[in-house]
This record gives sequence, C-alpha cells and structure tokens, in this order.
Amino acid sequence: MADIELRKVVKKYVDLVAVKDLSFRVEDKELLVLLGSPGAGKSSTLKMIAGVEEVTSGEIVMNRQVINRFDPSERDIAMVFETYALYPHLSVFENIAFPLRSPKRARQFSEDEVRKKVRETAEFLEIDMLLERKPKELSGGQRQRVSLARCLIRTPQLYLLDEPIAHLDAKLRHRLRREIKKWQQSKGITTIYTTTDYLEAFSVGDRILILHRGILLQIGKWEEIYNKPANSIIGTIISDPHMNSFDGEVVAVGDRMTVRVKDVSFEVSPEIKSRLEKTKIKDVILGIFPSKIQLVNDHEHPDSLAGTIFEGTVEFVELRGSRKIVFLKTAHSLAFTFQLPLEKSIRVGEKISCFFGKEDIQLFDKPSKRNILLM
Amino acid sequence: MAEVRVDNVWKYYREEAGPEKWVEAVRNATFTCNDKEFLCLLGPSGCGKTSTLRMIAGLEKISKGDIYIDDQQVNDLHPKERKISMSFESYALYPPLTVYDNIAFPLRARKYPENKIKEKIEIVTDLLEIGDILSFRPAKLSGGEQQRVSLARALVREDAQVTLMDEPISHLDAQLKAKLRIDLKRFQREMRLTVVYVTHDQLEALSMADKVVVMNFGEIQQVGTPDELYQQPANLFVAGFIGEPPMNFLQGTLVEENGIFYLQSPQFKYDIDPKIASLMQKENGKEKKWLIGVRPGDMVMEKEMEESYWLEARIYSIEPLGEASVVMVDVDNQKVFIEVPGLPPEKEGDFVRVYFRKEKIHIFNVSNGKAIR
Repeated sequence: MADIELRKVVKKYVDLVAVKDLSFRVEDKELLVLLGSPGAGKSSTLKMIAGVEEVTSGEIVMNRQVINRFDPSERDIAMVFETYALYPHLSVFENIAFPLRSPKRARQFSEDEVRKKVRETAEFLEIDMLLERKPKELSGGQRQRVSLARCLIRTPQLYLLDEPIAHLDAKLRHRLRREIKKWQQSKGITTIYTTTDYLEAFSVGDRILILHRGILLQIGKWEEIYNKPANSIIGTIISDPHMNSFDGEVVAVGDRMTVRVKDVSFEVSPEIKSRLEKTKIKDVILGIFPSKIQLVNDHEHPDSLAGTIFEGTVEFVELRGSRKIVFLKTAHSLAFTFQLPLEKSIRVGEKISCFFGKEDIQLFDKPSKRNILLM
Repeated sequence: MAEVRVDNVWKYYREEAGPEKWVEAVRNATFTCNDKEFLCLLGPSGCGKTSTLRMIAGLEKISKGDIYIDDQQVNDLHPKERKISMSFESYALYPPLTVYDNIAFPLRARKYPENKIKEKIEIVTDLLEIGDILSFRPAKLSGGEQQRVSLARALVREDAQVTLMDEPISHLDAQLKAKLRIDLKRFQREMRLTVVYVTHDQLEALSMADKVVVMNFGEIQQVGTPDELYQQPANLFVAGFIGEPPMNFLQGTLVEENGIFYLQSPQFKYDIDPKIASLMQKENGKEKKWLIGVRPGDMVMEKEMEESYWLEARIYSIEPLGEASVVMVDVDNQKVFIEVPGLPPEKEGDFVRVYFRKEKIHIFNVSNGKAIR
C-alpha cells in the first residue's frame, strides 16, 4: 500500500534547473509513466524520490508523510538505475539475490526460497542461463535485465524503473513491456516508470506524465493526451512521425472562422471557433497528426467530405512494417507527413489529394504553445 | 560507377580451444549492391553480417570466394586502396582532435583546400545536428554524439565510391533515430551514394534500404526489396524476423476430401486453392504438417463471427498504441497477436473468436521452413 505525491519539487544542479515546480500524485497500485526526451528531468525526479539525490525545494510525500529527510534505506523503494550499478565481484545469481539477503531481511527467506525467487525472476527476464556469470561477461542488454531482476525480486512499497528496457533489442522490449505491466499489476505495487518511447508509455502506463525541460506539460490517460495535447511540443513527443505543425493566423470570413497558413485556409471546428472568439487569439500553431490524414480517393463519398482537401507531390516514402510513411509537399510548399497501409502503391513524384476533418485539427496559441481549448 | 559484388564468399575462423575446430561465420554468400543502391545486411547478432561487411572493407581476409568493387577483384587490396569510407559501431574517433578536426581528417589527408573542407563539413554537420559541438573533444561527448561524429566523418568524403556502415545509429535514442533514418536516406539519394549498411533492426532496414540481404547463422536467407520481404517471406526465419508484432504461426494439416483440399487444425478447417495444394504436395509429398503464418494485421477479432472457421481465444493482454492496439490472445495455450484499429471494447480475460483472412496467409513447410508459393 503506497501512494506518493510531489509538491512543487525543484532540483537545481549548480547552474542548471533540472526539475521545475513539479507537482503530481500517484495513486496506490498505479503505474505512472514519466515520458520525455533525454534531459527532460525524468531520472532526476526518480532519484529524488529514491532519496539518492537531495530535493532543492518542495516536498515528497509518501503515505501522507513527508520523506524528504528519510535515508534511502528507510523508504522501502526498489529502483532500477539506468547505469545498472551491479556488483562486479558477484555472480548474476548473487546480484539478483542480494536484496533478499540484506541484513534487514536476513532469515526472512530460506536458501530454498531465495533460489526459487531468483530462478522465477530470471526466467521471466530470459536470463536464467546466465546465473553463474559475472557482470563483466554480459552484454549491455543482459546487464540491464539483471539490474531489473534485482529490483523486481523485491516487494517494496514503490518501484522506480528508470528506462528499464531501453537497451534491449526490439523483440524483447516489446515482450517485456507487456510482461512488466502484468507483473506490476499482479503484485499491486505502485510504480513510476520512465521512458523516451511514447509507444512504451502508452503500452505500460495507467497514466502518463509528459516532462519537457523539467516542466510538466500534461498528465493524464494516453487517450486524453492523444486527443487533446496540452502543448504543441507534445506533438513531437507522442507521435512518430511528428505531428504536422504550421504557424498560422486566425482569420474570420463572414461567420466562419479559418486559420490561414501561407495562403491556404483551414476551417476549424465550432468548439475551436467559440474558443477563438472568446480569447481573441490571432497567432496560432495548427497541428494535425499524421494518422488523421487520408487519401481523398480512399473515401467512399469524396464529394461529401467536410474538412480540408489539399493536393501535393509525393517527395519521399518510408516503409515501416505494415504501413508506409509518405512525405508530401503542396504547391504552397507546406510539408505534410502521413501514413498509408503497406498494400497501397504510391510513387515518388506522384500528385495526390489528401484530406482531414475539421475535428482533427489541434490548435495552439503561438506564444505559449498551449492548446487553446485548455486555456 | 560503383558496384559491390560478393561472389560465393566464405569466412571461417579457427576456434581457440580445439586444434582443428572451425567456425563458419559466413557461408557461401552471394549478392550484388548496385551502383547508387542502399543495401542493408540484416540479421540477429552472430549471423555473419558484420563479418561480411568487414570483408568488403578489407579488414578481414576472405576465406574463400571473391569480392569485386566495380568489376575489380579486391580480395587482396589494402582497405586504403578500395575507395571506401566507413562508419562503425565503435566510433574510433581521434581523442586529441576536436570534432571539427576529426571530421576534416579524411579530407585533409587528401589535401582538400580549407575553404572546401569547411563547406562540406557544414553540410554534414547540419544534417546530423552536431553544428554546435564542433569545438569539443570526443571525451566530452555522449555516446550518441560520438556516433554522429563518426557518421559525419564517413559521409564527408565524396571520393569514396562505396560507403560502409555498421550499426551507425543503433546507440541513439528513438526520436533521433527516427529522424536520422529519413535524413540518411535523403542524403544517400541526393549525394547518389552506394551504401552497404549493417543492422539488426528490421525497422531500420525496411525503412531505408532499396535491397535487403537477410542473414542467419552465416547464411543468406533471402535477398529482396523491403516490400518483398514483408509480403513474400521466403522462409520461417524471415517471416518471424520481419514485422512487429511478429507473424503468428498456427499448425495445420493438409487433408483431401472428395477432391477438395483443406487445411485443418483442431480448431478450424477451410478449403484452399488446389494450385497451392498441389505445390504443397510436390514440395513435401508425405509430410502432412504445415505452419500457417498470419500477420497480426490480417487477424480479426470478434464476438460473433460470420466466417465458417475461427479460433476460440481468450484475451491475455491489450496494448494501446495510439491509433491501433495490439491484442494478445491465448489459443490452445499458444499466444497469438492481433492488431486492431483503435481500442477494442473487450477486456483482459474475455473470450473472443478470432479468424484470419484466407488470402493473406503464408504456408510454410515444417521440416525445412520453406514458404510455399
């Protein structure tokens, strides 16, 4: 049983502010993902919660108790470090068994139980054949799994997993992100997990917190973030290829409201229109996720399309598994990226018509980059 | 003109332990990288892709066979004489030199004028986004930055006829990788480079290569365009290696009833094209067991099913991935992946019916792994 809360937490290193006024709460048994680019402040946040780095200001509260001054060993937190921090002189088995043999838990587990638990955890992470080896005989990915095993073998109040599967190959990473989630759910241990990969975040997180240069941009379920990103920067973090985004200007035409981007007008939804009228915002960033753009010809009733149709020339096509990523340039040299199913044949140099709906437009205030629907 | 031809090439190493034990790292590899082509050598670690590249570079001796660059046999040429440039996984930067001087090194060695060097360095460093670290020394750089500098040093040379790269972006974070895949490919096209590129990442290979050579255990499994590998994998290995989530494999038996051929498992039975059935019989007369490969995107999950064949399944996990979700189900204790658009209404533990599109399946011979086509 553990919930944890950060209240206006700041972390400063000499002249660098790594974490700025960070406040959030993780409920009991919840898995919260901190998602952000390298340098966003994810690791610093975890290290402060673990107690291996000091909080510059603000409070960390666990089960309604401020733990800022607690020694790491008093916090009952298991953490995986990005640097693995394995004991070089111990075998993989002894590294994983280490937490079970600490003085605090001495004699809590019989030698048979220790062996059973180590084996179970090692099998789960596919390192059961490496138990006799020393860390220096392992690859980076294997070391990362030993470090993860040493953390998961415990039943603490809180797991802190700092990019726990970042250095594994794709197949294993995809399997483990499912399995770690199952493991966490079955044990019911509150967890904070960091990653730079939005698909991993969507896959494992009950909720996701997007961190950018030490600042919280948004926190919520993935569908909330995906449907209404709070900030235009999020379009580069939770979409690959990135959200298409263009600087534009709000123009009223009669009773309609459009956004003009280089002589092209995009009509906006009624919801956005009424927001624009209230806020009087003029300079905007227009965002459209690649997954929302379709070919006009693919539509059953091309005449009835309610949205923006635009024509462009295919500049480049990138194959990505079951889909193709298409890079398109319009006559006004707007560059759009979108995706098509693999079966669709498309050639570089081809002229095509594309379409997206009014409802699919995301609009951000240019100076603050905030979603105008959330202002 | 630059063309690399690998002709029946073998590489064997003598194992340290036994006196006469040989390890075959590359077995009888034959392929051609055409002029201005981007060729990827793809496979898991230990498959022989790096050994192959190193033989092309001249860093390893060829045990048997020939390698030609532009119709010239290069087996015994020194790496320097091969007109190649290289960027390897280990960065091999010169520690006392700044980033700028590291990148300029191959050009200065070839007596380029300084103003020309500056111009060329600007182009590559812009592409790789390292313009702001030019005055640093390698020790101050992160792994990802070092890798980009090493890449820049390989790309800055234009006298090289062939550019060889070994996992040049594998250490970078996901976002930068996605960006560099596109930039590298563009650069290769614009500069009309001939590239041989080694990677273990199928996504990287599919997205950049004109031609992919898939290797496993020292042997070439298939040579083809990314489209071909995905849609017509030649064998079980390629089918399982290409695509994420991976292809599902279901067991089936070929049966004949009243002149009609069926593929049958404990859970389903449906008729198949007689042409394919006769190919199957020819390929493997007595053997009746087959593996049916279905991509997760070609599987359909429903509560009620109109089709006459289906699999009873129980949902093990649901992974939301933005516009699509990956659902993993249990079918007779076997895990099967299904890719569905959006988020399905079902929950973990629910029972569902699963079927697959007959016309999209791949059939493999169980005994030798070969695809029936």
